[in-house]
Amino acid sequence: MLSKVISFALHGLEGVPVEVETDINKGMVAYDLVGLPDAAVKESKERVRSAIKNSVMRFPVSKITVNLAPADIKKEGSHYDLPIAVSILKASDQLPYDTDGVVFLGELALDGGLRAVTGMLPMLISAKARGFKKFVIPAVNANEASFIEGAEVYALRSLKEVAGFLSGEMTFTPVAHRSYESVRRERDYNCDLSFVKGQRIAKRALEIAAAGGHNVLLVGPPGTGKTMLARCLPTIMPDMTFEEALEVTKIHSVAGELSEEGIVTLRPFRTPHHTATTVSLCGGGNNRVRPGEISKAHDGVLFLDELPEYTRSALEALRQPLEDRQITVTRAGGTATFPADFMLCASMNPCPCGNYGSAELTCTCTPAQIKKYRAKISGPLLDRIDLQVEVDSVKYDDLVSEGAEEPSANVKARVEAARAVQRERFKDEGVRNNANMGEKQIKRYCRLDAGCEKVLRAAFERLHLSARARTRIIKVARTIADLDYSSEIQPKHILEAASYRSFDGDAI
Amino acid sequence: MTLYDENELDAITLDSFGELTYKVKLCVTDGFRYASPRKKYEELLIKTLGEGVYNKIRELFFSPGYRQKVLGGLEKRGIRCVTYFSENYPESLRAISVPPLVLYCKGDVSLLKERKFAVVGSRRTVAPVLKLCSSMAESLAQKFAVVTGTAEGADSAAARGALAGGKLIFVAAQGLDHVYPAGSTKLYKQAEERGLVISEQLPQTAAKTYLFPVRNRLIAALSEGVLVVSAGEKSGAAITAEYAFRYGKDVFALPYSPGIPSGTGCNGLIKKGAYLTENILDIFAAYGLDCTEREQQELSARESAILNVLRENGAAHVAEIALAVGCPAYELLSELSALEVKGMIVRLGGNRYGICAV
Repeated sequence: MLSKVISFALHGLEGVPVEVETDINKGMVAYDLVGLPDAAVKESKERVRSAIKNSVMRFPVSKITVNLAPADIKKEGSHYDLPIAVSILKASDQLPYDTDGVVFLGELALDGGLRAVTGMLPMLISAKARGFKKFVIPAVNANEASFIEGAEVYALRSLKEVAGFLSGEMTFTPVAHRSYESVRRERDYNCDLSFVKGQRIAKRALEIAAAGGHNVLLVGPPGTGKTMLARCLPTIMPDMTFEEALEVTKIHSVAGELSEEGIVTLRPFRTPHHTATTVSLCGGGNNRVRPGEISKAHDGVLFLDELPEYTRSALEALRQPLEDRQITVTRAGGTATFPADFMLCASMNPCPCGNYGSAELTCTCTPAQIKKYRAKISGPLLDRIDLQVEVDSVKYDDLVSEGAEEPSANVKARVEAARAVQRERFKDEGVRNNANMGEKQIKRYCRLDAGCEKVLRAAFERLHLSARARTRIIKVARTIADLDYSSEIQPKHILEAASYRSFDGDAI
Repeated sequence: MTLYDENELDAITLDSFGELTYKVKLCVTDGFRYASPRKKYEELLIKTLGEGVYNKIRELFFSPGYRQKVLGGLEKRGIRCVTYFSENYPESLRAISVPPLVLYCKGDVSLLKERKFAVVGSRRTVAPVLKLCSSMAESLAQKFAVVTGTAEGADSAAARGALAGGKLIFVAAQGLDHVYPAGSTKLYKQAEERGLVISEQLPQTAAKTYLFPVRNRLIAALSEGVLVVSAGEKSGAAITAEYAFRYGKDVFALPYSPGIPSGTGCNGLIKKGAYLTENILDIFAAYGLDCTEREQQELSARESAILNVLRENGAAHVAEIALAVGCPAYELLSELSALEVKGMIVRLGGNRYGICAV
């Protein structure tokens, strides 16, 4: 007997349909699995055998051949257990029911229970796009699936239930659709800008960064709250739309890092340690290419603490995704493109001893040491960091007693207003925010009048700025003007933008 | 081809014999200069060098081919020589006991005839002083050619300031083929283009520790006065100041509070009679110069308020200024940048700002 069951394979963030075919013949007793399965898929043979036996069904004693088609795609992951089991049961006439148009995904436990699988959401989305309507998945993945509208998803607990469902002996209701709005709970980030005392300049810089999507570098002595400030960054960024949330959830689902809730509603904040390798940052893997930290930080913040401690190659690898907003990872096993539209927030000390620029402590570093330390960050990478702001060690909270600190929500409102201006401006440009502006957009939307030109020229001469600082300053000035509800860039915007440049000019 | 007169050519040729000591060179120059009985010097030379070497050098010295080679080499390097016999040789150098025979120059030689003032300091100078040093050098460069060494730290800061202000004489310890310290190539290049780089060593001479005090003597001798912005117990800047005292030049030093390592030398100089210097006015006053020439900048009300706060405290954190002026800190950033652009305040790091002298 021959049977066919549909399942899906993951290719990057895309699902590809896989037909699980089983043929049972008379002959020498054998059980073969073909069609480029990897180790986890091969092992499914034994899980399937036990699961069938323990579900009070019969595992056929004949020559069984299971084929995963198309045969040229490497099959990876444990979600083929359920389709293989169903296919064998069908071929052995134990489930003689119609399964056309039903997609099966799920891992089996030895007792026949269904276990969660990774990458459920992207597979379901792709399957739906290909016209599949009916799905059978493990109950634990139900939350993830509930956001797909117009699909009939049955979340079941065991192989027994699957058999009952197919035979019609048991009835199940499909997973109820949940709207994004209903789960988007009140944003309960652990941080809030109001928890950070003082640091008005740094807070302002973060506001500008969030408003224009600029990357930001926090420079300051150890223990001054750089990390705390960075953690507040997602709290002042606009809420994610459903599309954004779905995209982020897809990535996290593929990476197997999805929480029980089934959808990511808060902007990701990723903090890879500085021992992170290039591959762990950018993505990779032997067969199935997995997203790296930069993709997991998509639509959120990638925070690199102690920037100079990262390996040079890891940092340089960030340059291209920072530019393209996505990354194409190529491996022998295949190529995958992952979105990587993240905001880079980095922190570092001003010098090896950390006291440079401090009012109370003396810096013991020589200029050569400081230069060497700062040279660890390459010019091209710095070019992509528009805001460089100093976080100071001095406790001025007793000085600044004028009142409570501003909560994140207020800042967020201003950021959202500025983002709305940018959306309107760039609606036909294929650009999302000021930071992504190319030369063409800068020419069009950042016209400088004579006064601005004069100020900019004077700033360059007097502050010894490098030529590459020009674009940076203009972009940031554009964002400051947006926050100021000003359609034209004014000299004061240029000057403020010029003050966020602790790395440029005559710093040392 | 640059034109040198006979005496200058003699000096350049003579200086090209690296193996001759200064004393021997001096003997020979005197011999040429005054056409005194050559015999006497010849005897002395033969005694010190040995006859073989003497004859060889003598032969080369008068050979036009060798001279051509020496001049060609210098020209290829873009070096202009100013010799003891040249018209634009600084008079102040003639007054010292061991004037250099030849100054190898790259850049604007006419700066040697300007009034000159030296700014020197230690390599380990604290950040605020570096900024101050830079801005003082910039102001000084309006009136003087600023003479300084090539080291990192205070010297480089002074050089950058002087370049921004106009006139810089960069005095290298090593020959001009080399760049020391490594990594300052850009500064050398700017100094060549917009100022003057000089060295008394042959171009191929590499940097050696003993050459630095020799160079420091040149800095002190060239200048009317020396400003020491920072100096440790045993630093090159202190040596420069010592030479300046010996040559009867004015020495200015920034005061430091006790316990700062890079300031002990400065305080020591003040004890010895250097002028205690807090800002550029102290120096200009000593020379009867007035510095109101710096064009009066138009200031907004808030900018003046910021300046007043900084005048009271010398340096202040943005939050302090904001509190005194009475507005949110970030709103001050554009004004602070504007003042920075006007050259009236400097950034000290850590969101602190300091007022520039004047």
